[in-house]
Amino acid sequence: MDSTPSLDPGDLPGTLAGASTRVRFVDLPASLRRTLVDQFDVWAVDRRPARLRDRIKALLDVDLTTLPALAGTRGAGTDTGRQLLFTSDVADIAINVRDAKTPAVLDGQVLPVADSSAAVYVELVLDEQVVAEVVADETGSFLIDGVHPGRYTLLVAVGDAEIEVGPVEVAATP
Amino acid sequence: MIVTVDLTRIDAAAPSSVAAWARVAPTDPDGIAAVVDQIADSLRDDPGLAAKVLELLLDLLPSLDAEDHRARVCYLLAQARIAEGRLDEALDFIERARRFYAQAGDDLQALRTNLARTHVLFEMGRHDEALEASVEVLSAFSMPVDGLDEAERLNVRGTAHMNVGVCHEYAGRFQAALASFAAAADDFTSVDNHVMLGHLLHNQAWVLIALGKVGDATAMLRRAAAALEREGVRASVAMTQVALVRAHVDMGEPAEALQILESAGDILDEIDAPGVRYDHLTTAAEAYASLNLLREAVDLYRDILKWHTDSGFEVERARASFGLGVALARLGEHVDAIEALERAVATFRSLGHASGLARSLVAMGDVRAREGRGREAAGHLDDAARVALAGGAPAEALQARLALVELEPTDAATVARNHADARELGIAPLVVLAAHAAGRRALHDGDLASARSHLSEAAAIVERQRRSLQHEVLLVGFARDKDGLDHDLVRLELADPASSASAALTVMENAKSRSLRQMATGACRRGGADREPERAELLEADLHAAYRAMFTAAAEDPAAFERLRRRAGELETQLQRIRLAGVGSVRADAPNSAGSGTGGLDPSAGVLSYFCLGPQVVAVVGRGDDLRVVAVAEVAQVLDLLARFAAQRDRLRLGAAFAARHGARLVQSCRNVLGELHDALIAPVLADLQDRPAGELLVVSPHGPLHAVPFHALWADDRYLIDDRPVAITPSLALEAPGRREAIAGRPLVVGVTDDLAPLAGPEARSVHERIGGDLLYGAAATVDAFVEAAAGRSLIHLATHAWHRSDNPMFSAVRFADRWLTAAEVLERLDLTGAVVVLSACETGRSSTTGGDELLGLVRGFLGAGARQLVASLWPADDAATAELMDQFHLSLATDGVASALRTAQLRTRETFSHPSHWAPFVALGAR
Repeated sequence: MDSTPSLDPGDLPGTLAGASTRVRFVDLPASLRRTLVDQFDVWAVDRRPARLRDRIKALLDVDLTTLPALAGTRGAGTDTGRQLLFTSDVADIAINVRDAKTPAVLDGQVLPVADSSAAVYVELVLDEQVVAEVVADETGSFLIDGVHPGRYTLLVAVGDAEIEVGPVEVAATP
Repeated sequence: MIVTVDLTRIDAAAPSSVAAWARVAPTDPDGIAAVVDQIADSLRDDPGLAAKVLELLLDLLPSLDAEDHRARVCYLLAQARIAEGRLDEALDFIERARRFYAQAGDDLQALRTNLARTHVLFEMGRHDEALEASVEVLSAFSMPVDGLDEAERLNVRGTAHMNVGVCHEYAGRFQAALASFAAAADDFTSVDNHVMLGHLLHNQAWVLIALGKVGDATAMLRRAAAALEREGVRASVAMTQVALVRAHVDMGEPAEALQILESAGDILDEIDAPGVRYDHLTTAAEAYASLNLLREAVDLYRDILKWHTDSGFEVERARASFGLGVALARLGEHVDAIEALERAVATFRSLGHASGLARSLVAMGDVRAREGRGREAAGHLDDAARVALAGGAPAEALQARLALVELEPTDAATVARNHADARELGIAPLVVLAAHAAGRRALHDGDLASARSHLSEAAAIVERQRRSLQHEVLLVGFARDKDGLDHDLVRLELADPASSASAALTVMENAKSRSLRQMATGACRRGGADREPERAELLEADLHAAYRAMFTAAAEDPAAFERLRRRAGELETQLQRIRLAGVGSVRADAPNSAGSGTGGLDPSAGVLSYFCLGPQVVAVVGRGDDLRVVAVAEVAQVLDLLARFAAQRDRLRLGAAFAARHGARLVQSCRNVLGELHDALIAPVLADLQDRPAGELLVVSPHGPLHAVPFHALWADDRYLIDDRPVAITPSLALEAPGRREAIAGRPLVVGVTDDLAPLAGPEARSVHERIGGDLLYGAAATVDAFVEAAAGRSLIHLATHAWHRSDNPMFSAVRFADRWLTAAEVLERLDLTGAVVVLSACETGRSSTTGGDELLGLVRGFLGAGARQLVASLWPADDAATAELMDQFHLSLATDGVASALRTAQLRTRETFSHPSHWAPFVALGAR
C-alpha cells in the first residue's frame, strides 16, 4: 500500500481516463479495509455479475518470456516484458506482471471472445482470500498495484461467466 | 675496471654451465663483481630481468668459484622478489643474505639487510617491526665506520632514515616522517644519489597527500619523475608516474591522470616489474571509477585481486578491495559491495591505515544510505570522521562530514564550515561537493544570491574538469554523476523571480547530450584509441561469434540466449577496457566547448522542451522570448504509462490469431494509454501548440524517460498528434543550431540484409533502391566492411535489416549485416556519416538508454555522433510488413518533402492498413533540420 485510497465511492470507477479502476486492499488496517470493502460493495451493486455460471478455467497459451522473439519483427527483442496470455471459450486474458519493484503491478486486459460489451470484473486471490478487486474499463483493461510477492489466482467475471486464471507468480525484487 | 654486459643476452642464453656463462659474460672475479653491480643498478630499471639473471648467477656461483658473492646476490634477489610481490620468498632471501654476510664476518652488511627487511615488513603491514629494523640500521650506521666507504655509509643511513619516515607516515606521525625524510635528503645530497633523492621526493609527496595538500604533492611527484627519468631508472619512473596519476585522480583531474597513466603503461610494456604493473592497474581502475566507467573498473579490480591472492601486498589488496566495493556500490550491487568493503575495512584496521580505513567506512556509509539504512550509514560516517581525525587525514575527515550532510539535516553553519575547509584543502572534488551542498542549502533557505554564487562555483570547477577531457567515452562517464548539480541550477532559474523561462531553457538544454553535441563540432573525439589492436581483434572475433549464436538462440531458445548474452557482456567489458586504455592521450580536433543551451536555434522556432526535475516533469513551451514554464506531470506517472504502453504493444506478440480476434479492441486500449500520455505531457501545453500554424513542424526535446515517448502518436479528441503536424525529436535544441548539420550532395546508399525471420527487409531495400537510385549493398555483399567503405559522402543511407537495443550495454546495441553485427560503439569508431540522412529500418534503432547529462546511449548516439544530419529510427520492435510499406511511402514523400513531413505522410498512409500504433508508429524523425 503506497498511498491512502480515497474513501469516496464516487471516485472509484472510471476516474482515470481509459485506465482500470483500482482498489488496493493489501496491508490495510482492518477497520479501513472493512470500510473500503463496504463502500465497494455498495458501488458494485449494479456492476457485479448477478448470477455466475460454473467457473471455467483459462489455459496458459503464451508466456512471452519463453517465446522466441524474432519472427515477424526486425530485432531480437532483448527486453521483452513478462506478459502471459490465458485463453478460454469465453475470453482471452492478457496479463502483465511488473515485478521489477516490490510491491508489483499487475495489469492486463480481458478480451471477450463473443460479447464484447460484457462488463468485466476481476478479483485477485491469494490463499483463497480476495486481496483486490477491480472493474475493467470498456476495453477490458485493468490494473492492480501494491501486489506483494506470491502465487496468485485471478477470478474474472465476464457477463455471467466466471473464469479462473492462474497461477500467476509475482516474484520478490532481487 | 668497467664491465658492461648485456643482461638481456644472459637472460636469453640462460647459461647453466660456466662455459655457457663465459660466452655472454666475464668469469673472472672482477668481471663477476662488475656484473653484479650492473644487475644492482638495473633493479630499479627492469626488476624482472634483473631477477632472472640473478637466479642464473646464483646457481653458477659455486662453479664460477665466486661464492663470496652469494650474500649480495641473495640480497639483490630479495629486492627483486619484493618488486614482484613475492614477499615470503623475499624474506627467505634476506635471511640467507644475512647469514652469508655473518658467516663472512661482515656484521655491518648483515645488519644492512634490515633495509630490505623493513621494506618487506612494511608491505606486509607489520609496521612496528619494520620501524624497529630500520632504527637498528640507523644506529649502526650513524657514525663513520672503520673499513666502510663513507659514501656507502651515507647511502645506507639515508635509506634507513627514509624507511623510518615511511613507517612514521603510515602511523600518521607526519611531522616525524618529514623530519626523517629531511635527514635522508641531507645524506643522499651529500653523496649525489639522485635516484634515492627521486624516491625521497616520491615519499614526501605521499605525506603531503595525507595532509590534504594534494596540489603540492602533485608538483613534488612531477619533480621526482623528472629526476628519476634523468637517471634512467624506468621502474622507478613508472612507479612515480603511477603515484602522480593517483594524485591527479584525487585532485579531480582525470584527463591528466589518464595521460600519465598511459605514459607509465608504455614504460611498463618495456620492462618486467609486476609490482609496479599491479599498482598501475589499480590506479587505472581508480581513474576509471573516478570517471564512472564502473564496469571496466570492476573488471580490472577483480583481475588485480586475483593476483593479490598470491602476493603479500596487504595494503594494495585492501586498496583494491576498497575500490571494488566503491565501484560495485555505484552500480547498485550492494551485497557484493559491502563484502568487498568489509574486507578493506578489516585489513586497513589491522594495519592501522587511517586514511584507507576512513575512506572505506565512508564508502560503507554510502552503501547503507543508498539502501535506506540511514542509522547504519550515519554510524559508519561518524566512525570514519573519528578515524580520519585521529589519523591526521583531513581530506577523509571532510569527506565523511560532507557525506553526513547528504544524509541528515545539517545546520547552515556546518555546511559553511565544510565549504571553507574544502576550499582550504583545495581538492577539487571536495570543493564541488561542499559548494554544491552550500548552494542547495541556500536554495532551500531562499537565499538565491548565495545559492547562485555557490552553485556557480561548483559548476565552474566541473566545467573546467569537463573541458580537460577530449574523448566522448570519458565525457559520458564524467557526466554520469553530475545531474544533481545541473538540476539545482535549473531549480535556481525557476525559483529566481529575476530570472526568465529563457534562462531556464538554456540551462536545461545545456544539461542534455553535451558530448553528443561536442562530437558534432569536433570538440571531442570518438574511437581510434586501441592500445592493443591484436587483442581487440581477437576479442571482437569471439564477440561476434557470441552474437551469431545469440541471434540463433533468440529464435529458438531463450535460456541459451541469456547465457550467451552474459558471455557477450563479459567480452564487451574486456573490449571496452582495451579501448579505454588508449583514450587518455587522444586529442580533439577543436577546443572542448559544448556550446550553450539553445545554441543558435532560430528564435522564431517553436520550442517544446521537457526536463525531469526530481519527481516532476517540467516543460518550457513557446516561441522566441515568449516562453513559459509548465509543471506537466510526475516522472513516476510517465514511467507507469510507458510500461502500460509497452504492454499494449506486446499484446500483438501474443499471436496472429489473438491479434486478429481482438484487433479493434487492442487499438482502442492502446489509444487509451496514448491518451493518458497526452493528458500528462501535451494537454498542459496544448494552448501554446494550438496557436501554431497548422502543419508547422513541432520539435520536441525530451529528457530522461521521455525519450521513449512516441509524441507523434499521442492521442486526444479522436486524433493523433501527427494528424495536425509533423513531429521531430532532438536530443537537445542546441544540436539544431544552424550550420551544425548541413546536408551534403552525394549518391544514396541502400543496404538490404536478407533474412528468413524478416523476409520483407530484403525486398524493401530493393524497392527503396529502385525509388531513390544510388548504390545498393544487398544480401551477401552487405558486409560491415563494404558498408564502412561505402558510407562516407552519402546524402541518404537506408538500412533494411535486423537490429537490437542492448539496455544492459547500450553502446553494444547493433545492426545486423551479412557477415556480422555492427555495434553503436563501432559506428562511432569507424564511420563518417557527415551530412547524411540515415534511415535505420529495423527494430528499436531509435531506442536509447540515458545516463547522466541525459547522454543517449545506443544506435542513435552512434549514428548522430558519426555525423548523421537526421535519423529515422524506431522506438520499439518494428513489424516487418508494416515497416516495408511505411518505408516505401516515406521515400516517395521524401522526394518532395523534409524528413519529418515525409515520415508523417508515410505514417498516415500506413495507418490505413495497419491501424495499431505498434505497427504504424514505431519510427521517429530525430533531428530537426
